[in-house]
Amino acid sequence: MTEERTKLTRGLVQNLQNTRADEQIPIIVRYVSGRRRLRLRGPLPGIRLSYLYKLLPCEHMHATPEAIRKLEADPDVVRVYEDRQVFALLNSSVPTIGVPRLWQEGLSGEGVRIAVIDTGVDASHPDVAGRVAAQVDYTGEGDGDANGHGTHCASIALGNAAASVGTYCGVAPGATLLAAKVLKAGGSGMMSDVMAGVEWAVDQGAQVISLSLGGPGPSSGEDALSDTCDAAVDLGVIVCVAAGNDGPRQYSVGSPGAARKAITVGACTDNDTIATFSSRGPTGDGRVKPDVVLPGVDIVAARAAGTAMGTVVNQFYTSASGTSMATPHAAGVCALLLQAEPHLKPEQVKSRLMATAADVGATPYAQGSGRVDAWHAAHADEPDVPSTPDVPAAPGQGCLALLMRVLFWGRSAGN
Amino acid sequence: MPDMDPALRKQLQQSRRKVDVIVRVRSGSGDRTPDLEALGCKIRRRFWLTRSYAVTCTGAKALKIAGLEWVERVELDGTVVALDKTSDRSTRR
Repeated sequence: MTEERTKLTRGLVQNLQNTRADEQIPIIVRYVSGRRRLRLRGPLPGIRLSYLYKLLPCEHMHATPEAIRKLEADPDVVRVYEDRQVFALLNSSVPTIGVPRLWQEGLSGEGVRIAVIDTGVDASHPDVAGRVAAQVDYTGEGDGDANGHGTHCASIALGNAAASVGTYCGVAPGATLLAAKVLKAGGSGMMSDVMAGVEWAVDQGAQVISLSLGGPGPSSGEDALSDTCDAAVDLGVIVCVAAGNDGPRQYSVGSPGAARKAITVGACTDNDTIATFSSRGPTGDGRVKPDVVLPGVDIVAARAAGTAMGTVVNQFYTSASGTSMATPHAAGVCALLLQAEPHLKPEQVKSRLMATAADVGATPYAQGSGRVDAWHAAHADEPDVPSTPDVPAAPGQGCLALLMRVLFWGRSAGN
Repeated sequence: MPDMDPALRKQLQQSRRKVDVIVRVRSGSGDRTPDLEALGCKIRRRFWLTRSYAVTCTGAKALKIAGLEWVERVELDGTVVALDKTSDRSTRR
């Protein structure tokens, strides 16, 4: 049987080559519309049914290789797909916020300097290699990233997916990185070292600063670190700060998340659900924070060499969640806006992001103004801006979402 | 007397060990490095964005500094953590 005529997806055929005869693997079976499903036919050897989809004539099950071959021969079966683990990838989160349309318009963040103040960066990682303009270490541990958090965050902001052939691309893959190491290998550090990192970034000409770190809430934004962030904004630098991971309780935004002039970033899923862990406002002095939310759940991005932060995907990538992951999404979007309109001031960029954000139906103390929509933010001053992006929202997580992508959005998902 | 969190004041009063604090000076105060060093403080960093110093000293010294006319604020140099949820570093007290 030729490949074109088989009902099995290419990924499933490959899986079967490594599957024992008695092993049941997860699959999704699509039937001829209106025909009887296996569930109605009674038990079949080698098959364990698990879920019947409602939107499509499909059924999820576990089956042995022999049973899968029988399904393939069944005239009521149109297609058999392999099921597989899915993540909220950068190639999912980035489309969610409307970034690919800006790439199509020629924006990549080129010429914009983003400072990531964190655990350092693995400058040899293919996704950032050659684009690290400067590094500094305030921890005494030396350059590099022994934790992995900083590299992960940096690649969300500006990774170019060199190690994944374009799959895990950051928001602003043309931007330049400034990396200040202020957190030690254990992932913690002193507030004063972060302040030093912010000053260094300003000195280095950073246009956007990304801070995926913080202390306990509530904060009123009057501490030295928050004031440092505000002072950087006064000098024309956009500062994106993580809201914190102490949600869903209120008053859980710490410092520098409570900084008045910074863009405080909460986390949502790719499906626009506010992450439970995302810190909620108000601030200690009653202000609304976060300002916006961006994807920050199960984000696959660069893995620093030799580190095990998050859920390791492969040699070059790992999956992690947190407002840490949402924040560099914001920093990358800011870089795209600055490339398009270099004259924009930090308060204008913040205002754009907030005014054009998509309401995800949560309270202001959970979502701020909503989930950032990069394309609308970049076109906010143009008339007739549509209220919803033309780019289809990225598929979410789970079998059905994957299936929808396979069926309706081409053959790229292992087919 | 400069603004100081009452909890921090109590902590400094009770502390016999050295503490890391951030001292912010009033606008127009100039460089106060010699004054702080004369008080026996170790200055770890100076910050031009906020007219501040990261200082290590005893709790008693920190309280004394807080009472100086040119000092605007004294606060603890706290710990911050990376905010990835997959690690086990809660920021909750």
